[in-house]
Amino acid sequence: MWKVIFHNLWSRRKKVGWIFTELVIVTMILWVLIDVSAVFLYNKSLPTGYDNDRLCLVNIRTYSEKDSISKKEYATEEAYNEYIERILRKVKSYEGVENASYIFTSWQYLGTASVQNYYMKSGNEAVDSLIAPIHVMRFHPNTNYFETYGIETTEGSPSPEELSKLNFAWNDAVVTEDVAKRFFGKENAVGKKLFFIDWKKDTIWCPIRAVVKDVRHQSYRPNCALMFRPWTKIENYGYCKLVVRVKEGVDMGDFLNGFEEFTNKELKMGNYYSETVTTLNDIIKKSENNYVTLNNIALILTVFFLINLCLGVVGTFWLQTRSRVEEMGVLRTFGATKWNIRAMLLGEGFVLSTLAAFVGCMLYLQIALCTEFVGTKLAMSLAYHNETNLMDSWILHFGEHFMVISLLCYAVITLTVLAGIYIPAHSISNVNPIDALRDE
Amino acid sequence: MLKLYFKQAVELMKQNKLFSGIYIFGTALAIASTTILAVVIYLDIAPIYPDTNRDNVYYLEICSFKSKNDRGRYVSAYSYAAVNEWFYPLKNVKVVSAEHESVNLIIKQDNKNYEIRGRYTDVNFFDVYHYKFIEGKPFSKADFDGELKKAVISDKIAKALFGTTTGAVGKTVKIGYQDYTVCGVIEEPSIIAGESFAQIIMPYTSMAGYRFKHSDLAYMGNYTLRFVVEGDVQAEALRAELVDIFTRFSNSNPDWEIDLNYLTLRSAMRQSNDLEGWDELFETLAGMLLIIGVFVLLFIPALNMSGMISSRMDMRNMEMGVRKSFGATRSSLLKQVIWENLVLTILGGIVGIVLCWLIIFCFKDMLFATYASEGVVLRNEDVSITAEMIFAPAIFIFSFVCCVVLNLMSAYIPAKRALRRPIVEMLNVKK
Repeated sequence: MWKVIFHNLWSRRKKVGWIFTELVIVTMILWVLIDVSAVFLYNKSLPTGYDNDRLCLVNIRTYSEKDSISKKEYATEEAYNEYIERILRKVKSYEGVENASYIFTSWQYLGTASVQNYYMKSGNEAVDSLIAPIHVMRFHPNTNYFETYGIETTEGSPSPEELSKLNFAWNDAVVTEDVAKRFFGKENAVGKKLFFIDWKKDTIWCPIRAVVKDVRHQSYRPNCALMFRPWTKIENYGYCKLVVRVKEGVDMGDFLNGFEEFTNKELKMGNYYSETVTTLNDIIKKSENNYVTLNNIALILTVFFLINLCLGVVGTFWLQTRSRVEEMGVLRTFGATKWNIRAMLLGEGFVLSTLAAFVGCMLYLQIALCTEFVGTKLAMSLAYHNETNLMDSWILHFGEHFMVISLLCYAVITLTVLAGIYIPAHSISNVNPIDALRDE
Repeated sequence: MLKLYFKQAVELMKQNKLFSGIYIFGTALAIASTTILAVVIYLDIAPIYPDTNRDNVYYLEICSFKSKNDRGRYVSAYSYAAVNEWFYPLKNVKVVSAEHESVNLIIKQDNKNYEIRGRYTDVNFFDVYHYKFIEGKPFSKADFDGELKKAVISDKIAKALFGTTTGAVGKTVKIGYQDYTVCGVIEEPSIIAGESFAQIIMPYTSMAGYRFKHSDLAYMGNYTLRFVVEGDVQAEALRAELVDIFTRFSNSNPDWEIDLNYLTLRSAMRQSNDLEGWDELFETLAGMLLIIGVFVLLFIPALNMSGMISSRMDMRNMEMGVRKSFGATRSSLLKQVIWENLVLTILGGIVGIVLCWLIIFCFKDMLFATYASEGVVLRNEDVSITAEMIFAPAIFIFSFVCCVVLNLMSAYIPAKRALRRPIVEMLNVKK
């Protein structure tokens, strides 16, 4: 049958040439679109490393010191520290609250991210030569930070509850599994040290107090090298967020209704006041909105091109069924079943889409060798800096990345072509051989 | 002759319903997608309420201060000092308005929180954009100079807070912990209005710390500028005056200089990157996106339809052969095929425009998501589309031109190739 299929395609090469050209061009366009979507969706599917269910954030602001409502006696470091602790205790005592912590940040939701990347070293030259910048997340010790977020520690590290009781020094560090593996391989990193050179050119050693499971600090960003370092004092009182974990079994909607009223009335202490209460899931949805939109646009354009492809295939093959009626009639006369006819036509579509997808992917490869995959660029831009910062995955390996996306493109194109051919194939396979041969 | 082509086209449609249906649907999809792209870009540049003078409004948003002593660089907006010393006294401009960094504000009312889009600006803001006042008026120069907490709110916010769009003047809204008195109610613009979209407008002098000066650099801050000019000539004079101001600062300041490479003076239709020369719309990213987008969105369907037309031309070989043998020229036959296809293309175009409107209304939140401010997830009901936005003549003309281009792209080559055959071959070819 394959011989017949190839022969048929070759003999009608001028007619199927249009479809073949379109398939090649669409393959190349879809490669870019599928690349963007695949990388984004893959990153989103990775575990975050924390539990965002039943978590909400309360924005706590301070009155401006220039306003009359602000009291001078509350505008001292001691007063700010004391009142935020009082607020935290009050929130913890609210019915339905399992745990609570606080972070000081205006835009993150997992802690204050350091905009700089730290170039950490272990002292082992072989490892340090593969240096990667590490993204630093700040947390406040003794505030149940890890338990509230549901960040788990690994074997050989203190538990999250034990971490809350630890006295952290300003240079201590909690690293993720990925960072521990990069520097120390399979050895337990707890107790070991990393160092960096600060802006004064001093060497700062950071003892590792614990290793936590890999954490993605924003839902749409890929996993990158991350460590947690403690704040020993509050730097910016104006941007506090209380992180509240609600007890299991408590309805979030009901909880938020009562809790918002509670925060408006009760969380006015010192120069602090409560502004809003939002669930972490809502904040995550807002933060990833732009990338979700980009992904949606890529998917819509993919659907657009596939519909066009399907229409073209249906139209072209349907118009050709008229001229192939006698051929099918002869085949039926010689014992071919309806399924044989359909299989032959579907086989033609399969060969066409396979050849076109191969040519299209090879042509795109030439472009990709000169530039870079759009998906990889997207992943790196989302990671803030460069690919050494990212956790190893198929996205970063050229060969693997090319194969994965090419296979996805091939599958999508082939399914579309087969779907488009099935309708005319079904129609022509049902033709009566006598009617088909009448005009012969 | 055209009447004959039209009649023939209708007959062919009746004879080949499936082909016609696929052709019309394919065309409709192509026209709908290109029209949607055109609408989205059109709304970015068209004069829509309240930005009715869009062509002549220019924006200056960021500045780059580079250290002369290897201390690095600051990229930020401008300070209150810069606004007062550099921009308010500008000569080559009709109106200057400064706005403090726009924010999403929380209004607290009856123990409920409302997240809304607020602007802290000056009195001139209402000369840049022409808001329709349902009630009251903008805050005055006296309110502005007196640092009074006055606010102009939109009708939708008035309805949400007070249950009515009238009678809100004189009432109090609580922003964070501060009380503002409503002095005017405006018709809320669509979020698509972009830089003129606001739900509450307040004088920036009502903010604590509006005169804030950075310790390192007094001209670095959070203010962005809007300039209204009288045409391109004044825009060019404005550009030159700004370059002069920045150059004088760079020459006179011992520690810092302004890096013009980071500066852009832009309007809806043109922009001056690095404050050097002008790039018109089609040289900008939006313009290129439109051209490339339209080409790609039309090219693939054109290729589709070329294939189908090529197959159909084979079926019409006999007919064309007979007509050729009776003296019809190749060009007249080609003209006939193109006109017949134009009928189908225009039908497809009409369906495409209707489809485009349906898609815009049903998926407004996705199409215009980029207009939402950072961290805001748009809902369909948040985006208002008015008739003036989508029934603009420019959109119809654009769609018609796309139809013609698509028709030519899809029909010309296959028809020309098919008609090149000798008459005898055309008459003898098997169906």
